[in-house]
Amino acid sequence: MLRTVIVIFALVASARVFALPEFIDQLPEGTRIWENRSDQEGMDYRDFPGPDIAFLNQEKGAWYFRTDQDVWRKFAEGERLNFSETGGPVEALSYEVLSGTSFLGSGSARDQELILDGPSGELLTQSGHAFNPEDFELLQNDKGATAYLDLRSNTWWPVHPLFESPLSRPLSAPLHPVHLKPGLLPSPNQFSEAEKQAMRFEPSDLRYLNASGQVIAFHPLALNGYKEWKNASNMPCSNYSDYPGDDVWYVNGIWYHEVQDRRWIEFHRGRYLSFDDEYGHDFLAVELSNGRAVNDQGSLADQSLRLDGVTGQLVDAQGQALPPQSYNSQAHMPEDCATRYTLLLNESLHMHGLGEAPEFVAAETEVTLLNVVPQRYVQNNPFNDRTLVQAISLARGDLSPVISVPNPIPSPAPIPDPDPIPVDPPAGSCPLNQALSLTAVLPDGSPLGNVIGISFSNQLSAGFAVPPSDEALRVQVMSGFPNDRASVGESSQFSRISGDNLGTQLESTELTYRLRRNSDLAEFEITLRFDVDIVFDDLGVIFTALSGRQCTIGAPL
Amino acid sequence: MIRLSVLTLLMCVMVASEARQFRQLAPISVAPEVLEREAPGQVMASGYQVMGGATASAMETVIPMRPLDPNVIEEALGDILASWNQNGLDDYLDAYFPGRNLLLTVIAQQVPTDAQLDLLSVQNIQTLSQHWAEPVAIYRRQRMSRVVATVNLQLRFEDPIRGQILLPHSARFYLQVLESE
Repeated sequence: MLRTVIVIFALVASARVFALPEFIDQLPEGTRIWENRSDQEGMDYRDFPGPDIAFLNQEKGAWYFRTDQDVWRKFAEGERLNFSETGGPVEALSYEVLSGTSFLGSGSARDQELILDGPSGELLTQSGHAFNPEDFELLQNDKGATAYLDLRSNTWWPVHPLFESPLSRPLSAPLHPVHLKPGLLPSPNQFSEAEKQAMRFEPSDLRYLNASGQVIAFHPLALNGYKEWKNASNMPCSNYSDYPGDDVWYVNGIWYHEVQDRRWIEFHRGRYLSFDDEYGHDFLAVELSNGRAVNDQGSLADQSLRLDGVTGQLVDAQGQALPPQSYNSQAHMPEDCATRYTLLLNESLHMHGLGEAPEFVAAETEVTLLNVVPQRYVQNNPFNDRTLVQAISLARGDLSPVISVPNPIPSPAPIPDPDPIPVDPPAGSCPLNQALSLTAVLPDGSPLGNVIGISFSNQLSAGFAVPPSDEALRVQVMSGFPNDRASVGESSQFSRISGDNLGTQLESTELTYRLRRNSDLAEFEITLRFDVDIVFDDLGVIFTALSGRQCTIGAPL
Repeated sequence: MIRLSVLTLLMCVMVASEARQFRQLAPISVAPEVLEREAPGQVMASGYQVMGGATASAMETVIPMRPLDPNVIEEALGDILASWNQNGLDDYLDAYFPGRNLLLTVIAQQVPTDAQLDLLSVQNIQTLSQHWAEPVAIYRRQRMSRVVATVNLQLRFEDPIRGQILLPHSARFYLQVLESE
């Protein structure tokens, strides 16, 4: 008894461990997902497409990938994913986690035997060292020595082995970047290979210089909150045309002139910039105050006001910020010009010469319904005249879902054909025998379906299932087909005698088939048209026209 | 021993049932069927007509595209369904809505008078395209957007024999939104 209890306990326990399902339709909220972006323009691992990957932090943890059917499928368990031990769906991920970083130049995370920690999302080395690859720069000096620099901690690490022990002293300057990050300003693709080769990196200021000492790029970490003031003196609406000059930038504690497009010269260090003539930036004072005296006490320089590079606001001698409305009102600007200038509310004093058009504010809205494309419960579409009538009729029980035409009362009584060999009547002459003829032209609101059947009582019907009719023709969408054609085939109960070809047919084509029922050799002529469309959430066939006639009565069995 | 075997068998069945999956919905992208014209009487396959016969391709694209406020779309969809209930759909259907006249006739003549179309939910509102329309004298600017939304609705009416009948339906509604300022 005790043994049984232990066994049950063990089984329940093992079931708990393997409780995370193999497939999940929808991941719980908060699940960590690595989206595959290899298909995006400019990604540096475009040759390695792959699925999205998710880590489900439940039980002992499990890793899933998104299938083509938009279902998540489990491929690994545990909290950590060791790239070098995991194959299949993680190849793209092993590039994705290093994308845009200096590490990608040394290969994928699999090549570098890295581990991905699911709960934290961090990368780990085999020795368990966690790191954020975006914080590192791979640099090379003129002697050809290469090392990683952790820009956050200013620690140097050897390339191999990775993060085992830091270097005792930094690489000697000048330093050259081995890899340019996508977040660089300007974008790395702005530079030629020769410019990249000559580029120098200054870790202390997070900027890149050319051979002439001009700053030509800024590292992404330096760009947090950078400010730019455009000199709009040459613009038509400018109110300071007397002050031409360079645009002014504040980046990472340093003030720059933009002496030409994407070439910067440092002119001042420190958070604040004064308004004396030392730097020749008179336009700034006018730009900021719209040419007015602030607080009616003279110019900005007269009041010892300064520009705060961090906030973009004016501050007094004590560093106290002035209320922006006290100096940057645009009320005095000509109306037509005022609309052309835009002060971006979220970027204080971030001026643009010619602003964007004023925000569009709709006063009236007119909506027109162009089309309704059914997705689910297609047969109930209230915006289609045919399905609307049909759905209401079916719901009320007025109409059977399989349309059939009852046999007319035979009069006079049918005379058995003495000739057992059916005669092939001339085209269009069906029916031969009026007494047994039938014509079942389905109305416009034909039921959805892909099977045409002719019952022994000689009724024509159509629909997914046509019992008790014998299946005559099957019109079917085939996997991999274009969305405008289907395959038409005869069943084993009928044989095609003449008419259009079986096989692949284009939708909306009128098709006519002469069929013989194998059981009694009765012949029928069926004319149909079909459309390929969404039927019950999947591609299916809708008969848009269907008619049938009996041509011969059939031979006695 | 037999008991253990039964338990093991039960566990196997549980695992197998977890692995079994129902067939998933596989949406198939279907281009909106909108009959459009280049000139009166001439049907074209792409581009849509706006004031003065200009097509979308001839208008300036709004860059960057500003997704429309979902509340505006939801309100518009509510108005459209309300108009269906009140025989006023004529005001909302595009001139080239497929089967437009037949639909209006059917709604007016064959739909039970107590039939109501209820809006259950609106999902996945997407602005597909956006253009500046040709300016009209009384407006400063006009912005033309084409929007798609997935709408879940149901048709509801009373049948004397079967009682209340509910007919659910889901569809992608393609809308043209003309905003004027």
